[in-house]
Amino acid sequence: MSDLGYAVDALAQWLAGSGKPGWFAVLLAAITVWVLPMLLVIFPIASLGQIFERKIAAAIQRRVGPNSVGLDGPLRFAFRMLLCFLPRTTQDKAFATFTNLPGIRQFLRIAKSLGLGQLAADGVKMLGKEDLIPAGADGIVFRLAPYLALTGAFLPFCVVPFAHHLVMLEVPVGALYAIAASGVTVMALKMAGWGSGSKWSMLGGMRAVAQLVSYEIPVGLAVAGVVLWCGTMDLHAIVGQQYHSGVFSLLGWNLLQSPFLLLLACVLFFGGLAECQRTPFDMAEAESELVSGFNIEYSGLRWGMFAMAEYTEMLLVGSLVATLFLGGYQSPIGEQWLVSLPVAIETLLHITIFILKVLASFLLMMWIRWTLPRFRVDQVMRLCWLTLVPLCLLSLLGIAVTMLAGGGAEMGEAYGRLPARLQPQLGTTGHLLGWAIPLAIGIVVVRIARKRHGQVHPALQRLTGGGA
Amino acid sequence: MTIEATTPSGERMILNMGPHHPATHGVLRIVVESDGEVVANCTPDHGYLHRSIEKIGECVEWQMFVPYTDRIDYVCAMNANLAYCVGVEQLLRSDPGTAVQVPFRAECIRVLVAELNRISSHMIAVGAMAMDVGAVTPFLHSIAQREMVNDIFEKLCGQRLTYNYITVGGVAYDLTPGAPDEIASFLNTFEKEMVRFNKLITTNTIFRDRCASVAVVTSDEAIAWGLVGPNLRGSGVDWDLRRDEPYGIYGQLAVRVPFGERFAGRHGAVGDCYDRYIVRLLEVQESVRLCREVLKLLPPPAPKATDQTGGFQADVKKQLARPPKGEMYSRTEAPRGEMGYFIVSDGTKVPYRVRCRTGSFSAAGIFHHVMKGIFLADVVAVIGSFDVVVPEIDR
Amino acid sequence: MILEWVNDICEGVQAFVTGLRTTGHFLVENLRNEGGATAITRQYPQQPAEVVGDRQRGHLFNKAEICIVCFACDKACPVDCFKMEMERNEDNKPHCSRFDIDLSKCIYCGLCVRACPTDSLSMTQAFELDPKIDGARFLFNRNSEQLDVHFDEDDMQRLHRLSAMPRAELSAEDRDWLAARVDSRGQHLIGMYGLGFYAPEEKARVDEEREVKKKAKDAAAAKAKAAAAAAAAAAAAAAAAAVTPAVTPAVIVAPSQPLKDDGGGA
Repeated sequence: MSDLGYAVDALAQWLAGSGKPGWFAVLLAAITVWVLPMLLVIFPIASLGQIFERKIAAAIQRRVGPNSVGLDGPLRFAFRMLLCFLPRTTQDKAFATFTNLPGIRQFLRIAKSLGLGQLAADGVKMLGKEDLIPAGADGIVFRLAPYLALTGAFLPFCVVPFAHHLVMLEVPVGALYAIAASGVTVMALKMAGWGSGSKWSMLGGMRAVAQLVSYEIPVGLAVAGVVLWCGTMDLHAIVGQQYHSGVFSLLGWNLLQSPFLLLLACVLFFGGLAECQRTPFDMAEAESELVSGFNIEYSGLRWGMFAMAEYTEMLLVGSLVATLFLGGYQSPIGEQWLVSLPVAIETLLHITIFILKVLASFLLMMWIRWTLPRFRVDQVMRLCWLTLVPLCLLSLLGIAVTMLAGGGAEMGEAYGRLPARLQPQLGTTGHLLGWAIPLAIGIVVVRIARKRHGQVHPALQRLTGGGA
Repeated sequence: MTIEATTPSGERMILNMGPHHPATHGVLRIVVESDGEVVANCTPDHGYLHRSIEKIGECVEWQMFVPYTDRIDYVCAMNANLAYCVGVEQLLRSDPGTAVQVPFRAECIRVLVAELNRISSHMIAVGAMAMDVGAVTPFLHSIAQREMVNDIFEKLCGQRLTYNYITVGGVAYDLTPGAPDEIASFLNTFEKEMVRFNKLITTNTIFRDRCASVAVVTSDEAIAWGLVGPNLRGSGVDWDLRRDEPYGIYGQLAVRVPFGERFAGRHGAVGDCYDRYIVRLLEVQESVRLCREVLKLLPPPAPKATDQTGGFQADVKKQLARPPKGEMYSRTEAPRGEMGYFIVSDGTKVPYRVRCRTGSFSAAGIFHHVMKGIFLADVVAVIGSFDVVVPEIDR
Repeated sequence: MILEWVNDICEGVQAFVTGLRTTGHFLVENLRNEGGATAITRQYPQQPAEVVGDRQRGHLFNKAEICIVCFACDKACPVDCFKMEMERNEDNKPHCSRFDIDLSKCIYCGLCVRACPTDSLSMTQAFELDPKIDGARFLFNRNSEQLDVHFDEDDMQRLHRLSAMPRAELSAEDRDWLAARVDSRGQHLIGMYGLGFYAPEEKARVDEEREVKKKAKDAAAAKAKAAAAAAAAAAAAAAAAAVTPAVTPAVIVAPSQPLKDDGGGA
């Protein structure tokens, strides 16, 4: 066992003493080893993401964004708490001395201009809000939904490899598991929509179900394409297979293997966007239509859970894209040297690289959100069934043909502790041809299509600065 | 594109959209009878913003009603002022003894501010429509442009929203010396910003597909339902009062009138939401051109305010104290369509009756007709595309 | 049909990229300038709202010295926000004895200013109605001279009652009461609303005065209590001794503070 499962076993064994570990010991060990670290890593990133998003939205809209709530308040509070045995004046003096340190003052200033304290303020606000359950709501369903949403967002992270030596669980069917586990969210949104006893939220819940169930298919097909290419469903093995032992280790990434895989990456990204209900797929929330959709009746911490689930799911989509197409935690340059570093440094670097990759798609999602309008219900379905699914099928076909043309498989390279696996035998020429032929065909088809149907009204051209 | 609302049991859900729904532009309430996502029936419910402005008109003097016209349509208060003042001047002209001659410079300023206000009003319209369809960013950018216009107006008359600038017989204040240059430079930056705005939202395919073929109003329907202004022109009717029944100096300006031509291409139809939206944008372009032309026509200021060319206000005190008896209906082209005032005078210094006819009112009248069989999500897009301003409906 | 499909996808991608490029442009533009210098929004109230141009139509202001009480503004006002009275002085010259502007009614249309023949009425640049911003207070009734007298709740009620009455009907006591609250710079008193103060330092001063007053009162009360206790003790002693009745405890009056009457200008 090469994942953290052995750590759980060891801890459970230690907790149980001499006997066979009972369920409680195993549960405790699992929580300590798996759940707590994950919460400690993902929660702060997800909540920082909210501030990040507000700043980005502000910049795009030529506003300033959160800029008034710094960290001095929480810091002062911490000082008061730590030095509660001293008189108030001494506490304040200590705080003043601390904040007068040059680096600290800079930090506090930046924190204030970034509005980092908003995070704490929002948290306190959410905790302090009345926990409201509408009279017409179905109490149990209403209460259960936020937890389910969080569960659905967190469960798939079990199989995501964060670093070469940091995988929660190496499951042979990891890719399948990730998709299946995130499907819990459908249930949560439906329950929230139905249980609230409000027409608006029910409409939102219905939309969410229809949309999420439909988009499981392009997402599944996109993952299937990668599985077809790599021959395994184990996410860590997929990462291992993207290893390339040159200086430019990014050449081994799935994204660059074939144009069809690139297409699948886009499909996975947009499908994922739809799965986490972000603009342009935010019909379940649809602020200007359904007011706030499925979570309209929620307040305080329950609403906060939905928000957290949304951001966690964004992270999940980012990590899936990174794992399946962007070489997971591998560095784009010089991965072979990185593996030979001491384990602690290697793990740290891997995690950093992974988080950077995830944040990149995080950023892209926010960017998209503040750019695009929202689809309509029927258009979302049409996009899914008439565009994404055919594209996926086309790509699957293309991948299959590429692999067939490549003529069988060869052993890839072994990467760290991961064994070598079979991968398509293409070679440099094969790769180049695999890119050139589909691209050429695509360009020709697009040219013809644009020529035949791509006319734009001259008035529109004039409006966008073109034309006479 | 309409969809038959078909539930086997015929069961329908009543949704109250408004009066505090985020996308109903103020306090419009629409009772939507929906079959799932499809709207089966909808009834606009008005009156939440009724302030009896027309009744107030019977209680205040002629000149004192002008601030109230600001409140009838606060998004384009200049045009509302203009409509009323043109009406009163027309009434005064019905008797040669009381006829007033508005100085030429005042006429130029009137057209200038009216067109600038048309720009700012349409900025609200297109931005709000984009926001209803789900894109928040374009709204902020269009509001930023509107703020520039408001700055110009604030320098001109000291207020940003309720201007009370145009008066019977001219305008309240002369242009500030730097104003023409400021306006010209604003128009230049504005055109550049509009190109970015259009790239951001107008040509976006999601936006286009959301609006194309939604709530199609054919030209016959548009005329039959009494639509006016951009809503009428969006349906392909080539009708604009500035060109066809010119008032003020519009007759000298050769207004070019855009109208709906199925801008969405093969996805759309003439008279859909997208056409109405694009017509507004094209009107903005036309307004920019008109402003530039008027700036060229603008005569230099005269020391005397009542000067026939360079002055800015004719003396109308005597005429307004004893206006001719009779009734008068005059109409002007406001951003939301024809804004007409039916004025009855009994020869005293207080109007006997002031009745206002506004574009939003007729636009709200067609809602229940065009909103049958569209999606719930389209309801907000339709409200946005008709650009209703609720105080105009309720008054 | 397939070509249409391809074309639709291409259009979508193209629009998507164009949109991202436009917003990306905004993003970079804004981030490059530190702290959002290209941001159009103002950080109100930290960054005070700027007055654009010199024709700002803010709060009304009447120069009582020039005012000839011609009622032109009152006639021009569409909402009737004026209340004024004319008195004749010793030389039989009319002057303004009272000029109220009800700012809760005023719609800032400027018709009165246009109607004013002596230019005594004008619209100031001040438009702030929030007491926290620049010291201007939310005045429902405001004097032409913007006097600033601190009133408490009872005073306010009395003031409102009095200011609604014609001056002729005021009793001598009321007149005196009003006169005590008149701004030293002018003889025209109008009601004012709210318990706010003009500026932070003013507030500090008045608070201090109030504190002193309270302390004095407390001290007096304590003194009175002590005196009462002493008296009671004396009475008890007297009762015990069955001699002449006890002395009544002295009534101690707290030293009254003069009301603040030197408000700052607009």
